[in-house]
Amino acid sequence: MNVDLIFKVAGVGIVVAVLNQLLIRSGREEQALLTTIAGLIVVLYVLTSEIGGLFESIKQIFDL
Amino acid sequence: MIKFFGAVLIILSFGIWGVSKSEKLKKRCDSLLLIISSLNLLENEIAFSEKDIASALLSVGNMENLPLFVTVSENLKNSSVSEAFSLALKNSDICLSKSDRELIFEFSKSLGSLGKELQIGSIHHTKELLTSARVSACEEYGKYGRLYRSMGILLGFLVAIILI
Repeated sequence: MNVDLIFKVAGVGIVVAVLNQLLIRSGREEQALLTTIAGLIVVLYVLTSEIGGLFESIKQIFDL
Repeated sequence: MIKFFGAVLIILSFGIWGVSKSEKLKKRCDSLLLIISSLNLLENEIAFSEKDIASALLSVGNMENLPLFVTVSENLKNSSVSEAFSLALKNSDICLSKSDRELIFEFSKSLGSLGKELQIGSIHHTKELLTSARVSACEEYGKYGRLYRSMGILLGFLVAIILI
């Protein structure tokens, strides 16, 4: 299992959370929301291949 | 090792970007204060001395260390007051927003063409407008200065984490 990926996702999550709070406290709620969505998209992009592998495994297990 | 240096470089460059944005906001505050105090001196020069506008601007520019006024006084050899101001504002590296520059350009139209009292009145009006612009600029710095500094470093970390 690729532990680096977990650390990467955790790091992105922490940074996005802190950025989100900073922007909300400065009164920029829309930018905070955009930052959160952008972080989500980045993490999903990083995990694309892993998610593909997960679906393949499910297909194989259930013979679909 | 190379990855580590790359990450440090990315974080540093984003951090410097954030700090420079924050400093720009602060410099705008300081520039507006400098122009307001220069206008005070210019008002005294117009009211009490018999100098022409070019000499008055040069004298004030040298006293207050404001290159903008010195450039305007040099430009006045070849152009009108408003053209001189327009050229100086275009080429100057003083930290002002577009609305601040428009304000100063509008003020320049009244210099040298109206009577003494009207010019002094115009200086008062411009000082009031610049003072309120300075108050909002300082509020903006207080609100967003720290945000830009922190955001720069955090974005640097984000990009470094994603890339490495």
